[in-house]
Amino acid sequence: MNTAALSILCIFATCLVGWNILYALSIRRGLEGFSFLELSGLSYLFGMGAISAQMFLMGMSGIGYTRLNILLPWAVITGLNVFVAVLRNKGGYSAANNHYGEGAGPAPKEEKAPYQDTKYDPVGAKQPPAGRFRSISSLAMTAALFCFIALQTAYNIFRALMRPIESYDAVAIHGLKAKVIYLAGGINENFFGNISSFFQGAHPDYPLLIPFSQVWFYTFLGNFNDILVKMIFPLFYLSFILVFYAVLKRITKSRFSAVLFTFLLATVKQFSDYSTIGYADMETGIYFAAGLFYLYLWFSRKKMSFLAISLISSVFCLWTKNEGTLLALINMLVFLFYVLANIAKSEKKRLLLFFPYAAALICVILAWYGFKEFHGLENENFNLSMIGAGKLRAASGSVPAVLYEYQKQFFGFKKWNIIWILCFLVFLAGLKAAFSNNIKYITAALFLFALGYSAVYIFSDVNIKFFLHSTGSRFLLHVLPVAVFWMALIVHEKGFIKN
Amino acid sequence: MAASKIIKIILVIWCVLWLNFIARDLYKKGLLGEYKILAQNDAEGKRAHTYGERFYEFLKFAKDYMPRETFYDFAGKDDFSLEMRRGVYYLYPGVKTKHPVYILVYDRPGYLKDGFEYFAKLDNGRFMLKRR
Repeated sequence: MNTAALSILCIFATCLVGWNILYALSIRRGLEGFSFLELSGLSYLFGMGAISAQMFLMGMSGIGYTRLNILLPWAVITGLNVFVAVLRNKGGYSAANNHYGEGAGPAPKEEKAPYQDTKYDPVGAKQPPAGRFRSISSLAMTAALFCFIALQTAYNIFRALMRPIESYDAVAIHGLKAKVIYLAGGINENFFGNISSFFQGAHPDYPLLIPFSQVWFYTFLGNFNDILVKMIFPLFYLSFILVFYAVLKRITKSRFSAVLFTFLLATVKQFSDYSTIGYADMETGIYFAAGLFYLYLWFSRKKMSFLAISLISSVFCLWTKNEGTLLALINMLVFLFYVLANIAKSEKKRLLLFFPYAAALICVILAWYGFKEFHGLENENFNLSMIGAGKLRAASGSVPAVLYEYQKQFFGFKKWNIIWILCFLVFLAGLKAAFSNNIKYITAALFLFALGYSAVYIFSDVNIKFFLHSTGSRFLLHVLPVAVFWMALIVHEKGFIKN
Repeated sequence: MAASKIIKIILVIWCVLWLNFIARDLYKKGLLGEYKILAQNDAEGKRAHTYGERFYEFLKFAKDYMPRETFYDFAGKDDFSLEMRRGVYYLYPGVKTKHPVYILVYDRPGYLKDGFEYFAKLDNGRFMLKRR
C-alpha cells in the first residue's frame, strides 16, 4: 500500500479509536444528540490523545510499538461497542436495564438550561428553528462563511504538507522526541535522561501528546516521514473547527451564529498558522476549550457524556503542554464555582459529580508530576519553587514593558485580526450578560487564565520582558477558542444576531 | 437592525484584513513563489528548499560520511539558531555533543581544532574534521 493511502488509513484508525471512546462514554444512550461532524471532530481529538497516552504507557511497560500492539486493545473495545449497539438495536439493552437515562435513575430527557424557560431564552422566543433562515441574504452569508472556512482549512493542509517539520520548537522539541522514540522503537528508562543530556533546550519535562502523535503516525506508516506526518496538525485544527461549530450550534440554535464565530476563529491568522507548523500551542488551546465547552454544556443539559468529554479533554490538555495543567485546573475551578453557586438548589446529587471529576484530574496531575519528580524532570522556565515575594517586587518594575507587550498583541492585526478588539467591545456591550447565567463561568475561566498566566510570567526565572516577547502570542492561542466562544455566548445572549 | 448592520460592517472589515494578510504572505513575502517551487519538488527537494539548499547539501554530505550513530558538533553555527536545530533533527541518530568524534564545519574556511584532522570536504568552507 502506498504511503498516502496508509496516512489516510492512519487518520481513519485514529478516528475509529476516538469514536469508540465516545461510544463507550455514551454507552446507555449511544451517540444520540451528537451530530456526525461533531463526532468526527471529537473522534480525532480523542483518538490522538488516547493513542499517544497509550503509547507512552506501553513504552514505559517495555511493550514495543507495532500497529497490532497499539490497535489490539481498541479492537476489543470496538467489539464490545458493536455488541452493545446490536443489543440496543434489538431493544434488548434498554429493556434489560429498565432505564434509558445516563444519570442516576430513569431520566430519559435532557434537562434544560435554567435560562431556557425564562426571558433569557434567546432560542425559542427570538429565533426560528435551527437550520431555517430569515432571509436569502442570511442564507448566502452562511454559505459564503462555510466556503471561507473550507478554503482556509484546505490552505492550512496545503501549507502543512508543503514543508517538512522545520519550525523551531517543532524540530527542537516535539519532532526531535518523536524521531528519537520512533527510531528507538519505544520509550525506555533512559529516554528522559538522554534528552536532558544530549539535546539542549529539548525540554524533557514537556508532556508528550504531540511527539507520540507523530510516533503513532510513523508506526502506522512503517517509516519515518517528516513531511506527511505534518498532516496531523491541520487535522487537529479541522477537528476542532467541527466541534466548535457543533457546540455553538447546539447552544445558539442558529446556524448563522455558529458559522460566523467559527469563521472568526478559523481565520485568525495566528490560529491557522499554528495549525501548520507542529507546535503544541494550538492543540493545548483546543483541548482546554473542549474541556470548558462540554462542561458548560453539562451545566445546562446535565448529560453525563458531556461531563466525561470535558474531563477527558482536560486530561489531554495537560498531556499536551505544561501550561495544560494550569488550564485543566481552571476547568476544575470553574466546575467548583458552579457547584458553590448552585449548592442551594435541588440538584445536589448531580453536583456531587464534581468530586469524581476533580479526583480524576488531580490523580492524573499527581501521577504525571510524580513521574517527572521520579525522573528528575523540572521545567527551567517555571516551577513552583520560583514563587516568592521578591519576584513580585521585581516584576512591578516591568509593568510598562508588560503593558506594552499586551497592547502589541491587542492591536496585532497581522496575527489576530481584530479579535481582541472585538472581545473588548463585546465585553463592554454585554457587560451584564458576561456575568449572567452560565456565561459567568466562562468569564471566570478567562479571568483565571489571565491571573494564572500573569503569575507564571511574574514568578518565572526568565526575564519577564523576554519571556512575554517570546511566548505571549503563542500563549494567547491557549485561550483564543474560549474567548471566541465567550463572545458568541454574549452576542447570542444579547440577541444581537438574528438567524 | 442596528446590531445586524454593525455585525455586517465588522464582518466586512474582518474579511478585508483576513484576505489582505493572506495576500501579503503570498505576494509581498513571496510565499506564492515558494509554494510553486515546493509543490514541484519531491520530498528531498522540499527539505532542501526549506532548510536552505546550501545547508541541506552540507547536512546530506555529513550524513553520508558519518556513521549513523555517532557524536558530532557544529562549527560555524550558533547553538540556538534555527539551522542548528534543523541540523540536529536531521542528523539524528547522530548526536550533537561537546565531545564529538566529528566536527561539521560550515562556512568557516581554514577552521581546525586541536586533536582533529581533515576528514572529508564538500568545498573550502564546508568540510568535516575527525578526532585523531
